[in-house]
Amino acid sequence: MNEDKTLLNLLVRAAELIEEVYTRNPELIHDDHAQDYTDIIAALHSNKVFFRANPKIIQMAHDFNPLKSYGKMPMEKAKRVKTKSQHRNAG
Amino acid sequence: MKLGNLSAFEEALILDERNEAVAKDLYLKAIAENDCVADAYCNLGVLESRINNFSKAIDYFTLSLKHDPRHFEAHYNLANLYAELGNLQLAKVHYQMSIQLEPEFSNSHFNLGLTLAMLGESAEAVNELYQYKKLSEKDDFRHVDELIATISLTSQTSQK
Repeated sequence: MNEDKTLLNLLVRAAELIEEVYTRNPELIHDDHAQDYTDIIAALHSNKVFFRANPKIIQMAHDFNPLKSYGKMPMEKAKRVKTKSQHRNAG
Repeated sequence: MKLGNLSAFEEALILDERNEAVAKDLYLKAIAENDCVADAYCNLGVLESRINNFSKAIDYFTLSLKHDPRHFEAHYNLANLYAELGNLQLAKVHYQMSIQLEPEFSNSHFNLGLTLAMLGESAEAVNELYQYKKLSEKDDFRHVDELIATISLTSQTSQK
């Protein structure tokens, strides 16, 4: 029982730490941090620990799209057209 | 630096491969000399997009298409740029156009697949990614398989 309380206190401290970092410099909080924050808040609420979550961090996690982490194939230079010298060489 | 008996476009292409800034001027020279105009505009678009000058890049890609409306690389690069800027519908159209012109070019299928996935068109996205696997010369498709799994998972989550 005491261990549970200690763990929940640690979760509260972790959530507060993420909020503090977000307040000081929002750019330091990335999608995965926001996701962790949301999971922490959910764990606290399911254990009946009241914690007023920061809606902006929750929204950030909500907007996270795992597909965005996949990069596109790069642009392609045009070089297929037969150029003047190739015409000359062919001729 | 003059590289032998090459046209302005060929010279630009060689210097572009070496990342030399003078390539830009040589592409413009090629255009002025009416040498591979559509290709030169297209490659200027690539150079501008590399320095995040997106409006200029769009200008060059569309000028390339003005000279050759069926210019495959211009459609493909324009699609990449629209995807980068978040206009996924326009990206989709230009990827589809590039596939019409060069159906064997695997990267168009990969990027179209990714775009369709972002648009929530999961089944079509997975089809394009399988097409990519079929056409690509690569041996390792772990990242593609992972992407297909992510699309399936995202699709299931959104259906709940």
